[in-house]
Amino acid sequence: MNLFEELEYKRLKKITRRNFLAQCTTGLGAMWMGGMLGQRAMASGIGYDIQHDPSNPLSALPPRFTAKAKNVIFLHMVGGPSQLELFDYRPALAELDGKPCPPSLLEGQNFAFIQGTPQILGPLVKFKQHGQSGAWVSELLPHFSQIVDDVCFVKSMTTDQFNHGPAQLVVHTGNARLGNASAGAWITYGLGTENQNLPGYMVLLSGGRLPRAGKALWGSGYLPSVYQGVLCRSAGDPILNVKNPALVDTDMRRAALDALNQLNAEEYQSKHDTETSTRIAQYEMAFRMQTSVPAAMDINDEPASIHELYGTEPGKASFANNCLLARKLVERGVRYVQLFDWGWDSHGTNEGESLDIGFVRKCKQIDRPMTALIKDLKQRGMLEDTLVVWGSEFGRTPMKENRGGTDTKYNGRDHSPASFTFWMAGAGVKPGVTYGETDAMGYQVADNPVWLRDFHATLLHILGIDHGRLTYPYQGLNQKLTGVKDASVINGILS
Amino acid sequence: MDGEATGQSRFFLLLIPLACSPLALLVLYPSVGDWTVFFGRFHPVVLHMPIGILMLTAFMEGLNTLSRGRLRLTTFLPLFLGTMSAVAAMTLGVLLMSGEGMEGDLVQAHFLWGVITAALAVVALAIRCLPRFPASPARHSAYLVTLFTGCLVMTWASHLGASITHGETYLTDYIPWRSDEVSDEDAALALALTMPADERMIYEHAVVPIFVNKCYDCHQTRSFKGRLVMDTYEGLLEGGATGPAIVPGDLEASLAIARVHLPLSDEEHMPPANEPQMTDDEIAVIEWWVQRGAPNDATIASLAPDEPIEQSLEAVTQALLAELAADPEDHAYHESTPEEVAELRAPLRDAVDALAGKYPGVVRYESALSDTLVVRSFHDAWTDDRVNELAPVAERVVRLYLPGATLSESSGSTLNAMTQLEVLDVRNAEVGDDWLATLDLPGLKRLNLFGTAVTDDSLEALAQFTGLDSLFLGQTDLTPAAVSQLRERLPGCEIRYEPPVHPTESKS
Repeated sequence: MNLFEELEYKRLKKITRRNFLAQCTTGLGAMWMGGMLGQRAMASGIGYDIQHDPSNPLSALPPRFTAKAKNVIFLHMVGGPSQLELFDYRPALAELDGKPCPPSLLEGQNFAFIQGTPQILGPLVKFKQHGQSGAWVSELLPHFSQIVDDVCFVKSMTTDQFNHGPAQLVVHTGNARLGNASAGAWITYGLGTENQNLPGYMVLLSGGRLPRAGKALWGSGYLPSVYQGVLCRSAGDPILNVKNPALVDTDMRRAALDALNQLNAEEYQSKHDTETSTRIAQYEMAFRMQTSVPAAMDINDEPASIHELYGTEPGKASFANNCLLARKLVERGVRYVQLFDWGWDSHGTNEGESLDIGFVRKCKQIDRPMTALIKDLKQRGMLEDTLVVWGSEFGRTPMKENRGGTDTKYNGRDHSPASFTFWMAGAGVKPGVTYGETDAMGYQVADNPVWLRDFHATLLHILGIDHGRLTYPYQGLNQKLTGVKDASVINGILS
Repeated sequence: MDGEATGQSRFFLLLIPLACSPLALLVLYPSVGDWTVFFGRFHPVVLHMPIGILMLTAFMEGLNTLSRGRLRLTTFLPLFLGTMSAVAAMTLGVLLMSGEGMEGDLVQAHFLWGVITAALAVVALAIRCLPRFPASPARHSAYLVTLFTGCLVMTWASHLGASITHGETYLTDYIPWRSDEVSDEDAALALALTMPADERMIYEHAVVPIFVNKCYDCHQTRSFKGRLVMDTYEGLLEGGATGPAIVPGDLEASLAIARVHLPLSDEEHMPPANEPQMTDDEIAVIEWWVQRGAPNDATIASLAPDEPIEQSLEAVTQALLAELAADPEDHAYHESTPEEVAELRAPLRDAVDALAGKYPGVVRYESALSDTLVVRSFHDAWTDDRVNELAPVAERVVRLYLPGATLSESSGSTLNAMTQLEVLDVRNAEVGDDWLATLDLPGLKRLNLFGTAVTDDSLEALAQFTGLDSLFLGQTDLTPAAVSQLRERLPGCEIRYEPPVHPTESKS
């Protein structure tokens, strides 16, 4: 037998009845077991079958069960604002002010900058109780203090990352490493968007630089790229590159797009690559956005009373403008609006990054707009369908940062992943509630720790999605926003 | 039977003390120490061994006997292992009883029958080990009788044990031919909860129903842990191993209350962390009762409850009634299958599909499991004509968001056909008093008229929406006086309204 005959013989052998039956003994059994056990092994149930309109990957889908919230506005204070100067009032800390930190607090902790034995730094501001709920709020947020009864505080947020980039990634993608889909991407993947003329997921920066982890914070990771967030500028063209070039009018653009779509459709017919259909949809959306985005992003048509309420400065990149924009975008059906505000990394190494000056300035910048956002949503009846989340990637230590010696000009605190505060308001959460508690020093979580994966589980729950079942197969794993560790919905804050 | 013709080695007798060796663990008895509880909790692990092995032994002996010597299954090893594990299970059971402070009729009976089981097994093994066993038919009969009796006793003993852990009606709860009649306990509970307010006794009709649900499983006269009985008033006062459960008037000394307030992670916390916990309202009721001297023959009214306690009592009663009313099969989480959902949606499927196709994303089901509809239009201002297109599916619409729409009376009948409508959001819409006057939606919970041209003339129309939870009237033409009048007429409704801001204010 020559080589070819031998191969032919082997091939024929494989298709004999005898071979089939022999394979049955183990092969079919293994397939059966794979099917049976595999399903059960997915303890949380079978992943949802997300079926978007093939020509429109952003088509609006009903939630999997009746949802409280339809939209999300997430206000991220990049850098880690000090919860000890904002919401987490710890009188015991004031008594220890200036004393060396007990070694028990330092054992086994990772610090970005603190070295040796730091001093305890008491609260630098005064706190007062507000509203019927009696929530403690610092004097730095006089406007916000008026609306505490609409807000649910989670004081026991905790994370395992103490550097900005990874910690920010955990907040938005559930994982400290790059390459995962952000919460907004998951949500637009699971629910689509209700306004086909605008992206479902928009990102607004209030100036300054990009967050450390960059665009990965609103990336789509392994999900089709159509679900990534669309970054908008609040000065100049809101979205870059959607304007027609000079001398090209709408009809020309339309004709060019039609030709391009036809080519892309042929490509999709032969290769069935979802990125191609995504591309068609993106071109179409960009075309529609050419008119709808400038209208949605224009805050000049708002009445003076609204500008007064938010403290906006039209034409500039500011947090206040973005808060107003967030309201306008949600009003038009944008599913997930992500705001990043820059400059909260109060290490105390310079004036801008000090708790004494820079931090106070930042508080002043956000206090009125974020309060206005809640009030405005509330009076329009939009808070009933919108969840507003305020938070950051971590908190700050009760210890004073001692980079460059003990005798620094400004006060600052180091990164503290151990505990920090989120607040939420609106659809799905109980108003006027404080959940979780830190220890007397405001350092470690003492009661009801909430990991970011628990927050994500809760967020999805409020939107009518079971976090264990919103999955996407990638690299041999059914990927989830909440990852592979146990995550649980925080029932204590649900309304 | 083993094939030896005359006798067997005397060394077999040594196996009897070996089988009884687990009794050595009784050095830990009586005690409530950690070691006792630690070992005791292996009782439920070990007890399955004698049940399996002794039953197998008896089964094999049965086959041997029935086959009249043609089958010669060797039973010595299973008999020895079965006996030793029976002794071990009994010993561990005794430790568990002592360590967890378990008492009561059921526990006593289980204890007694368990000891008899172990004793019969040892006797059977002893006879089997006698040197002249194989030769003596009398001994052989005695052995078989002891073994079979032992198995019968063991069956009863294990049933009693299972009744302690799973409850006495565990096996019959789901009997397919069970009657639909309410059980006596449920009927009594329902009666207690629905007593007229002025006749309700605090202990019998408020406290006991709470305890029934949260405490009786482990603390009732038939079988109880920690030496504590909670299903009698005397038992509560007398208390358990660590002190009285209830001390009238003294919250701190009442362990039943102190234990509830311990952190969930504390091993003394009650109810145990993996069991349903007391709700805040239930705790409030019990604490109030104890503060008022924990009377067992006073009516609630005679103790003069204040407003918050009234509310807590009401909440507890409603929760318990709801639980009674719930079909037991509803307790299991049930997610509708795609087929069930499809069946639910079938009657109006074509009409819904047509609309959803025409207005993609705007007309859709409320959730993947429901047949109700949500209509939300955000990039397109709707008109009467469009609303009237919803007529075929009107009865299914539960939420309607039409911000910026232009609506008049001609859409009124379609809207009024939306009998399930809960949310109507027409903020910034071109709607007026005439349109509002045509609406008759008694089930409506939320009405958003923000930024519409509604005036004081609509006061009467608005007051007709008695079911409203929230009403948004910001930036309308209503006057503050009319709104405050409306607030009086709709006391259960939260009205959002801020007096109009006059445009004198300039941009800051």
